[in-house]
Amino acid sequence: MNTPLQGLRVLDFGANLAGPFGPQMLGDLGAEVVKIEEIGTAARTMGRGSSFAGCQRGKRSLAVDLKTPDGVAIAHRLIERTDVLHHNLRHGVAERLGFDYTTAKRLNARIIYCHTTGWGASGPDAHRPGWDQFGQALGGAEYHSGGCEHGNPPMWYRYGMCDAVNAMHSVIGVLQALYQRDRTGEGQLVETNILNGGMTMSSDLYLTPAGPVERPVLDPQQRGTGPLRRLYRTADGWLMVSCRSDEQWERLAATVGSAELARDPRFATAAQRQAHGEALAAVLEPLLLSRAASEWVAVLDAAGVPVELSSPTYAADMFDDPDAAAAGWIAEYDTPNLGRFKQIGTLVELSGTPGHITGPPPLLGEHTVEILAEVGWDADAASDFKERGVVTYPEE
Amino acid sequence: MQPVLRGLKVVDLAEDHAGDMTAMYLADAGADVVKVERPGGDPTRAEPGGRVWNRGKRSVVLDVASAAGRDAVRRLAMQADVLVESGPPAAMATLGLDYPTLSAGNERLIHCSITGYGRRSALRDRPADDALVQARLGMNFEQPCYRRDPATGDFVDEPVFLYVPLASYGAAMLATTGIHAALHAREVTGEGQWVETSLAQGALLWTSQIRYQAQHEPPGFMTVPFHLRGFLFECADGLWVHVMIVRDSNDRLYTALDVTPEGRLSMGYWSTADDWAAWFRYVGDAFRRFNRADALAQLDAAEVPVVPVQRAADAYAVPQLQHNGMVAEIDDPELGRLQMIGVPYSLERNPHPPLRPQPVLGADTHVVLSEAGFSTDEIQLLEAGAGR
Repeated sequence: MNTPLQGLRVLDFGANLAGPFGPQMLGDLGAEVVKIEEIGTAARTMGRGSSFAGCQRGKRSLAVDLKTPDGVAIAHRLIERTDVLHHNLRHGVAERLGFDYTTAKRLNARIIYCHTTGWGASGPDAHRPGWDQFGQALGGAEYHSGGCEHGNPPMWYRYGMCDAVNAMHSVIGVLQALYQRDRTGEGQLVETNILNGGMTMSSDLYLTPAGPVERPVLDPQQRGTGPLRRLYRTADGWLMVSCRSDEQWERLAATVGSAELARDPRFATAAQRQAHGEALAAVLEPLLLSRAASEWVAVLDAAGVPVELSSPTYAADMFDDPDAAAAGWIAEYDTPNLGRFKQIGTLVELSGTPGHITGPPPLLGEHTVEILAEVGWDADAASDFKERGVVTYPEE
Repeated sequence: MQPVLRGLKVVDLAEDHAGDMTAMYLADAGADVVKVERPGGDPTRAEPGGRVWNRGKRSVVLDVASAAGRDAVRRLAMQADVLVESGPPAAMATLGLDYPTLSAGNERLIHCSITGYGRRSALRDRPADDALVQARLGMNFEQPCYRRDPATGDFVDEPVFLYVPLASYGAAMLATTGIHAALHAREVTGEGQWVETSLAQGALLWTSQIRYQAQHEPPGFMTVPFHLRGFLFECADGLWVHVMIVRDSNDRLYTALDVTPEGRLSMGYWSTADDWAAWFRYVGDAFRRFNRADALAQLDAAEVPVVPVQRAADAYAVPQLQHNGMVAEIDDPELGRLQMIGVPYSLERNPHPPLRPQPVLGADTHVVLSEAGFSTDEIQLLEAGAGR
């Protein structure tokens, strides 16, 4: 066994990001993922090639018109032999196109069927369309990340993380269903949604009989949540400070200020430092402004104070950093449309059965012919399907 | 049917958000999670989230600074299916609680390590927590600031601290994924393995859809086409909404909000950034004439996709989230009845067990050690050694 999910077949009927990111993660862990692409839908116009690549890598593409009887027959034959069927299409679409759970289970009693939605599988607003933005807005991320407590505008995270949380929860659920099937032989239905994902990203918030638990609040400048957990401007850039213990504070004070500052009774305990946060920040701001960020990192490293330089170039630099490549954080391959392409690499490592990133995202219908062959239609049949608009694939 | 991880024995040595939450996912699915805590307790107990991320576990106090305490943890690990830890690799090795040492005595053990930057990165010795990692991974500058300079009206060009601890959430979900993949592999091979991820990889998880370097494409971020755009608007009462513009919703939005005739711009794939800025001004003016509740009612009736931007606490009142089981009630021995997040996904055949509160520190030391075969004398010595 070379990968943890070796031999696992996954059919991905999903669209956009919230669905396909899950099967991509299963693919990174060794599953054989077939992406079913509807001919003529907008899935590939979502962003440029690269954001598509961010959730489709390593998959094989079958482009098929599921509105034709032959297209449905192809899908059904694939469903008969798959382990997992995964999609995030709106309620009713799978039923209309013939790959809903009831049909899939009839074709394949062992199937693990994962359906993720925007709002939920049922319930008062289940019919509504869902997006990452709604998870971030309803879950609280936008409010608290913007510093709305101070009258700031809310802030949407461009990472689209509620789509990705939805996908990660789908992966955890599918793997649990797989573990269950290993022992019982029975498949089942797995469900999650974007809204649940959004609420998960505020999991540290809970309600007590006396009201919501008190959490840190972002400062009005969105620099951090307290004087010792925030960004500071330096002579040439920005420095992240993250001190938790009394010792770390005393070392920071002695290094950037003086022994007197370290003994200042206003700042003696964590509670006092937080209570006098503005005063403390006002002391530290001019001190840290006096030297370059890299100099502060050097002297504060030596003093044992947790700090990090925050640079606008770090995100892009990683793609050309041999250390990041050596750590496996960057995947790199040649693609027909984007040329030499680098993206984020291995995210979780397994010592005995490591995962592997098999390659770039497929072209539309790139593997149509070989997948048809695997389920019993030869090249002539594929050509006939193509002529009749049932499937498509790029010419040699 | 039973919860999917019923019977799975987990030892949780973690002392951070990511590790604690990883073990929470396992406990939520029915695993027997024994949280081994230092005398005084996991420091995460002092954070608000600790009460959530430690739910459903049993608490055992052992002092790994003592030889007897370390031996006791090793004995627990010898009987465990999964071990979760978030300690520095060198320290874990010194304690003899690293994967090479523990797996020598328990080849079925799935040992999950969550570090700051992994063992192979050049950054491996950097200090690491969520704030430091978001800085080192370039995330403070990746997120444009939405605040405007009151003097110029321009967007403020400064880095932003990410309030949501994305690195920790990412690491928790990746660790949980890796552990489950290893559980499946163990059914085939009979062997456990070392599952590793890091806060850095947790941060990269979220960036993986927007970060890339392509030979034939300029560097930059994903652009969103006309048929799918999200916009934040402030209403007359100072409350905000998030609106999605989908294929045919723009005209309905104009009608619902009674946008002025000159503001009813025709928008499409061809629209430029300047066009969108003009659209944003006109529609923004329209929103400022409504209180939020009225704007939401108008837009809902017109089937324009929109939601309120709200506090995290307000999510507990959303009927759909209640329906989804995301509002869980737990009786906490210290605070009374709490509402916290439920389990965010479901399995048809394996319902989640009822959620239980964070354990009282050390409440299960005696029972857990006794179940693991420790004698009463051994337990008393360990309890004395742990300062109890």
